[in-house]
Formats: sequence, C-alpha cells, structure tokens
Amino acid sequence: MSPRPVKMRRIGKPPVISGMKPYGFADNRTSSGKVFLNLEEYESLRLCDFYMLHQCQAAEMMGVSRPTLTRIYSSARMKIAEAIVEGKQIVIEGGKIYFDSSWYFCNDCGCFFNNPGNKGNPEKCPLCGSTMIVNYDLLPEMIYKDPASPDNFCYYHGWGRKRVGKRRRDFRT
Amino acid sequence: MIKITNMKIAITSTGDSLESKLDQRFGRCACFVIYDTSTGNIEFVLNPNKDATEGAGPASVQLVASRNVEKIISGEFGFKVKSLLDNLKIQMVVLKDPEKSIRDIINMLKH
Repeated sequence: MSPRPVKMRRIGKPPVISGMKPYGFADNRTSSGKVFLNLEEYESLRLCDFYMLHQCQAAEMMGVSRPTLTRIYSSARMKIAEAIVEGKQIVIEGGKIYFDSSWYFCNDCGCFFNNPGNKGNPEKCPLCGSTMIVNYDLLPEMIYKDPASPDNFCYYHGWGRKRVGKRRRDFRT
Repeated sequence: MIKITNMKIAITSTGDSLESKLDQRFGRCACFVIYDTSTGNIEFVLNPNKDATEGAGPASVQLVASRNVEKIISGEFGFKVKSLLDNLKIQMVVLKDPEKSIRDIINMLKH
C-alpha cells in the first residue's frame, strides 16, 4: 500500500534569502557540503522561533496537525545544528508547500479579503468601503484566537496560561 | 479612488434573482452574479459545475476569469482555487453570512 500523500503546507511569507554560507573554516577548507532546508522547515522556524508562537498555533497557521508541525520543526533544528556544527552551507529550497497572500478583516461588515497583485496595504474594505480593516495572518477559516485570553484554551498545551520570560513578536505586521 | 471604472465583481448566489442568498461555496454555487460597477449592469450566469464531483473549483475559476472579473465575493474558497486566483490577481472577499441577499451585497458595494 502506498503511504498517505503529504498535505500541502501553507507558507505565509517566502524567505528573503535562498541560503546561507559559512565562513572562516579552522582548517582552511573552502566548502564542506550543503544542508537542504525545506521551505516548510523554514516556515516552522519562522513561526516557532522568530515569532515565538506555540507549536499548536504555528501548526494551525501552516494547515497541519500539531504533531506534524513538531516533526517538521525538529527536523529543521537538526538540519540547522548540522550546518553549524559541521560548517555546512544552508540551502532553503523544496518542500510540499503553497504560498498564501496576506489576508485582512473588515470590522464593519465582518468580511475577510486578500490583496493580490497590489503592493502595499489596502486602505478600504472592498465590500463596504469602511476603513476599519485589520491585518490577518491566518486564513479566514481559522478564526484568530487571542493567546492571552483564558477563554481560548488550547487542547494541546493551554494557550490560556501565562507564559513567563518570553515575549512574542507581533506576527500580524 | 483611482481606476474604479469598468470593474466587474462576481458574487456567488444560490439562485438567479436579486433576492437569492449568498452561496457559501465557490466552486459549486448555483449561480454567479456578475456586477459591473461602472454601468450598474447585473448579469446572472448559471454554474455548470454545480453538481461536479471533482474539479468544480478550477472550472469555476475559468468561467469567472473569462469574464474579466476583478473581485469575487463568496463564503469560502478551496485552496486550489486560492492559489489559482492569487496567480490571476483576482481579489477574494470571504463573507461568512449566508443570510445576506444579493441585493444587500450590491447595495454594500455601492458605498
């Protein structure tokens, strides 16, 4: 039996670089191989380590289950550790992914909309023309839950709990 | 606003009258309402992919894109449809309100 096909993973923003190169080898080598980091692994690092989201939130944003996200994430960390320890080049490419343009929400009429092709942020709701719009990094079918509110309890790790010593960057910019 | 002229908007509808409700599905909606903001012209296009078992979304995208629509209002878009519309630079508007009639939506668009 063939295995179940891999689900497409959603990527919010493509990486700004296509890779990284090491420099200053101790034994005068010029190169020592490459590590191929998938785009989904890059995205898991972006969400979990840069924006410091919970893994269940990151999983929801990438459209995969929490255990799958953990698997992607641990593989990303192993690859990056390998690159640093063995002085390998990191190449970001491949992966079963799709890009999604950013979404906005109108507070007046309650609609979600995206802004394809146009650079910059939209100023008006395309439906009612209201200016009460906010940026959304989630798909419309995933309603954003405020992690600080105790009402939004996460099934896996409990987002409602207060976290000490860690501050999240605002990922909705 | 600049360049508001000659803009066509597609709305997914459950029927072919102005009193029909907004269809919450894109690919398998009963009917597309093509509204032209410059002329106020309203056209009803029956969806041939209504009962399709597979590929209703992409086929509907083709139907709508052939009419040079710039914006689509529906309740939900599948992810195949999303990537297609992203490439075609057609704006998606998701309105999760099945009680809204086509007349209401056209009035909202006249803001």
